[in-house]
Amino acid sequence: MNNGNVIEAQNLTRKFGNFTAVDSVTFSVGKGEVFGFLGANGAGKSTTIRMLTGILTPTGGKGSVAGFDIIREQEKIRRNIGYMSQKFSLYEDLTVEENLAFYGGIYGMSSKEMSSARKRLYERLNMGDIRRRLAGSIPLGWKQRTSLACAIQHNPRILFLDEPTGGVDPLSRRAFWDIIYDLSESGITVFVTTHYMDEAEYCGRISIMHAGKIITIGNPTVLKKEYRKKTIEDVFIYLVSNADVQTNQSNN
Amino acid sequence: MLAISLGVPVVQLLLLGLAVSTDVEHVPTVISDMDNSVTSRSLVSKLENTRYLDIQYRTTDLQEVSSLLQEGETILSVTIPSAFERDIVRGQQPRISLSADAQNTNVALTGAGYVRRIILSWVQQQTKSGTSYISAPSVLTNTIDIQSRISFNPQLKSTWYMVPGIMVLLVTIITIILTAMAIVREREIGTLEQLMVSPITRIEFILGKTLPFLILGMMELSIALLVIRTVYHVPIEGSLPLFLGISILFIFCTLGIGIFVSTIATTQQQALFTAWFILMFCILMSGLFLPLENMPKILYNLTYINPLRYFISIVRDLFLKGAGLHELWKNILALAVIGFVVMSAAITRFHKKME
Repeated sequence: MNNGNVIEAQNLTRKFGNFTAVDSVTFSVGKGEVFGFLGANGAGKSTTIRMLTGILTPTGGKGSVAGFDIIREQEKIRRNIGYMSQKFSLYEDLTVEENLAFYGGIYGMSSKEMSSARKRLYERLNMGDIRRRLAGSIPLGWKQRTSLACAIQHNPRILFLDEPTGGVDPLSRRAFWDIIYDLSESGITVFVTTHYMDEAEYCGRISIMHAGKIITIGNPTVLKKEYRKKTIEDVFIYLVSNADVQTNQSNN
Repeated sequence: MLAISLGVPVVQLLLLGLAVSTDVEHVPTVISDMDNSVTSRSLVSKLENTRYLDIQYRTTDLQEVSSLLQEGETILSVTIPSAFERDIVRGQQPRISLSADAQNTNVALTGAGYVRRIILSWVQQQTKSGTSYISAPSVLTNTIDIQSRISFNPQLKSTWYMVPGIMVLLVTIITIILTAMAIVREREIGTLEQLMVSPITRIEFILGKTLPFLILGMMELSIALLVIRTVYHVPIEGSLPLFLGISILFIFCTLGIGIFVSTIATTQQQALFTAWFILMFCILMSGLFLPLENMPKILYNLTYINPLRYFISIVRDLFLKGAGLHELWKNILALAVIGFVVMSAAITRFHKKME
């Protein structure tokens, strides 16, 4: 691994037919960082995350995750990452505990490892009360937490979160970000996509993506200063409308 | 998907319209002409020149005739005795024996009826044309004695023929639809994506998604067997373990089809639609409801890729005729080949990828 980066992308590109979903993006994420991937819906965030997690093959460029090549060493990457998608991906007719046991088994955890991991997670995520409830019957905020628990119980080195707070109330979102900080402090690298601009403020570094391209990257405070805006939301609106004007001009 | 939604009904209409014909024609028949005289050859050519019968074999080896019936190669056998011409000339009633495999009571009885009518019309013709050796037109019907023998389902119970077939249908429907739906459902709720980023291998996933349905299919089959024995009293002449073994092979084929469907469909609706199309084809072209012999050549050739066709034939032969490996190996081999091809295609198409 070079210069302590656990995620590297170089000119990463993905085309679907004539449509370029991700257009030659380059970035790197260091160990223990909370890296925010911002963009409107359809900007190419999920496509990027899917290429990094090895479920979508790039049509151009290269990248590595946890030191493994994202094209040739997907199986090794899978052992080192946790992934949580915006769908929360739980088996709704299993209980919370059964979901955890199922995903733990998929990662080859022994029942002893799983029960100690569960004990730790119930406490840390404050979810002891819901462990015997069916995943389909609990409120969204709890589904989100259960989904996170499923994604981190096997102690991944890198955690990919694809719109993890979609549709969840502000209180649950806040609690969720507290957990993300905890994880980052314990050395886990967190790669998170979102279109909530307030969440961007919580990240150590952010990149703003628009129409498949990264239009800026950096620390939120530094970016606000650089563009002389009060909030990341203002920075975002400024950059995205600028980018649109530019594309319109070049099209005309 | 729009193209499929509009195209599939047209294909179904074309294929099935041609296939759906309950007329009994081209009944596979073996003729043994033991006499081989001018008279007997004239009768044989009469039997040959009709679309109702399909003379597939001619032999004078009676051992072979019975094994052709046993193996299901032919449904009817017509045996003309050795002194046929002499007996007719002398006015003694020669006895033509007619054997029918009555597993499919409809085909057997209709086929036997055809043979009877053809022989009578031949006798009539011979009399009218004044052929010298048939001298007593008044005793027309007594010229020849036709002795029929109905085998394998002597009481002509159509349930014996239909019920095992229905059992097979139920297992087919359950295993194809449930497998396809189960995988597509995971795609819909997002757990499939979650599993794709996990270290689980493709084979592990497919095993996890098919083994439960293999077990379910076998359980359903066992319950159906119980009903078949106790309610319908269908005999099971052949070996039960052999039947169960072949059933596992057959379910292997249907699970393969299920996985294959899941790789085409992205929603449960699409999966159900696609599975239903495949099921319609499999069921109507299985020989259970419609005799395969009557189908146009192109459609008949299509039935060779239908696993249901082989399994239904195996089940009937095993249940009603007591057929064993010796008689069934061709059909078993066909099932194995289909299963292998379908499963390989399904596994190849099923990627741990999103595109």
